[in-house]
Amino acid sequence: MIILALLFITFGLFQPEFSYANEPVGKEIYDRLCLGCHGMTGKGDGPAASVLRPKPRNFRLARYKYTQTQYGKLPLDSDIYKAIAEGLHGTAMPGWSDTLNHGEIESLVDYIKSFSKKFAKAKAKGREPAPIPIGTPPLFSVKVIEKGRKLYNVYCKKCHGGTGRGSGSSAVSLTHDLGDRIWPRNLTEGWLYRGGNRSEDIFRTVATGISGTPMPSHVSFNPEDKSALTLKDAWNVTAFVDSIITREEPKTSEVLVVKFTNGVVPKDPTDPKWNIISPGYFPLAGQIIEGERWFKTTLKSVYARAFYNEKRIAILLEWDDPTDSPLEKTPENFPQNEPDAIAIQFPVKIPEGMEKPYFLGGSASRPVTVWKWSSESEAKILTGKGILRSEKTDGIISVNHVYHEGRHKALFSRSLGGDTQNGITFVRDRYIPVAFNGWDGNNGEKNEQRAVSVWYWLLLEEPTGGASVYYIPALAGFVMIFFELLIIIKTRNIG
Amino acid sequence: MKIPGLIKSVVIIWAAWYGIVYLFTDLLGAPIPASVMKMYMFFIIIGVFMAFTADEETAEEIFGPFRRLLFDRSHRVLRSIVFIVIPPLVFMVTYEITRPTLDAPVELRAVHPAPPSSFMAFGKSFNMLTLENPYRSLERGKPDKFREAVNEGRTVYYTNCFFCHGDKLEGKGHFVKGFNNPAPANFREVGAIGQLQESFLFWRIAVGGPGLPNEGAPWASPMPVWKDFLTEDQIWKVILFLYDYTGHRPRTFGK
Repeated sequence: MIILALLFITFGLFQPEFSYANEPVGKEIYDRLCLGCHGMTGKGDGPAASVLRPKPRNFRLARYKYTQTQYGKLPLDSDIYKAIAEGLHGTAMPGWSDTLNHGEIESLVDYIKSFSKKFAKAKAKGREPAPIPIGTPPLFSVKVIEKGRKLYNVYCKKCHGGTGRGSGSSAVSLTHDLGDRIWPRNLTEGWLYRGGNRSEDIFRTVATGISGTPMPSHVSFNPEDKSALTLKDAWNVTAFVDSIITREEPKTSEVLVVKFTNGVVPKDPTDPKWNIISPGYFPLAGQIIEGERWFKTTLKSVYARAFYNEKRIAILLEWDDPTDSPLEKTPENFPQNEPDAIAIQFPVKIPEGMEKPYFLGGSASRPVTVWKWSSESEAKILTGKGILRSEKTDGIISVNHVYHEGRHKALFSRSLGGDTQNGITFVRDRYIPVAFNGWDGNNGEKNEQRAVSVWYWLLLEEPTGGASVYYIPALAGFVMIFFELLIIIKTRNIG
Repeated sequence: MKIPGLIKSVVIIWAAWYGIVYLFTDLLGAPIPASVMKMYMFFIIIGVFMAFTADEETAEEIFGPFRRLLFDRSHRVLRSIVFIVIPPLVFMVTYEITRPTLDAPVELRAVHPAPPSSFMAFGKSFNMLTLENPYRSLERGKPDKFREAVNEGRTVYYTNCFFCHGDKLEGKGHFVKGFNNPAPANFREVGAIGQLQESFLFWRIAVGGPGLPNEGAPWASPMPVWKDFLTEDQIWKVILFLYDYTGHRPRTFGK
């Protein structure tokens, strides 16, 4: 009894019961975890701010992007809570629910709100933020999606483009209210939706817009206003977006399998023959390793498919980019206008052992072959002895390129055999290192400022692999049938 | 009502399988390796079989249904269905097991390869045996100065390292999708920096990926050669920050 009492007292002393929902706890967490990006005083000016896009939020302005409240209005506590707990996808803001408990996040919300007087003022005036009504979500039937498509073409296409890849006519010159450049979301890549990709998240963004950005509120909460959408319309648009979104990021492909074909390899990037292969997915990241480092890359990934026959190999690369640079006319505020480009990198020779060339452009002792397509000059083959040291060879690579509504397609093709100019000789059934680099010219990317990948593998599939893989399973099936026949014969005899 | 022995044994085996999976993935938080699972299930099935075939009556409960299905004429229709379904099933399962996969070849890579005894950086030679963090002594002597150094280390981290190693230092920065082979180090992990000396971190950071010995696969690592971007001072301070944030202590050899 005494021991128990003592225990209670000691616990009482060392773990004073405090309500988590207060600022001191929030401040302690903030000063430990948040200030690297959001800064000491919540201005969004932490050390990382200079190398991030989007920039970290400035809490002093009390303007939040993903809110259930109307455009430009203060957010609900639950909006800030959600951003902390789940993070903002595709940005440097991670979700913290694995690190902080419910009470800690609540106290952090309180502390973050204390950076701006607007919250206290609103409370004093009894004007606390209110969520918008969400109406009734319809079933996303073909009819509803079709209605949504029509509305999309009127209200959304100008920025988000005909295919939803963010390639609309107004997309190139957008800024947010603090002057930084901003791109319309590529609506097909749901894993990059900052504020979440559930239907209710999409509806919320359609209805309330994104405060501080050119994404306006599309629903009018003023009954007089007839030009805006109704809640029902906003749900229809949500249904259409739902029909073009891929929510899960594709799994990174480790191996790009090159399929054998008896006929000719496709010469056209839009040849329907490509559809029999499902594309490999290869994520890219900013080149932050050598020379002028590049932190603000816009290209996130490249898709690849490939065929080969007895003579040639054809590799089709596809990647999303809202602009086909260089533009004929650049907007005044963003004059950078470099060409778009993409490159595939191989070792000059297939390595015999484990050792490969340096993944970032090779090295003097182990060079790489680079096939590069650029929108301004002819496709070329380079020899790379480092990302800052690559030279054009006289080798010839043929590239067919098309750009349509936010998607580049570049089809590289070359003979299987290489030489001193062409570089690598492709050999069937060998794992060949391959890497990808991409430049978004409209984002000012050039030279070593680009998006890069690590090494992946390219494998020319054995063409005869076809029938032999079925021998053993077929044998197993026949053995089974044999035993069944035995049983049938045996039961006959009994009968 | 008495539950037939066959159903009972199937339920027990299924429950055991489900229980083990639940125990490992949900309670212990780590999925069970397939080989271990196979071993467990082997013994469970043997055990159940032995328990149910201990006497003739229960053994009949297990074998009876099979025998009747196979040899009893009254079950002919059901038997025909089973006989038609089984061979394709065997074919499919065998195919799944034997079909050639085009998985990437396995590459072995030492995560913390042995450092050299000395190395060159910043125009001088560093002796790994005697190298120490010049700021470490401040921790006890001048806590204010130490805090300042940690904060400067934070600035270095958030302008250079967190793209890959992450806001939470767990190796999941916003560039990690692109730079995930090899995966960036998780500094919070038990057994990572807590098992290493500060001199090792200094070497590893200063020379970066390309400075690794061959067993560390220097050609694959996106880790920059930090001596080209950071000063000696900045590297020591960011090391302070890594230990301070994670709560790990650098490994030291007793004097």
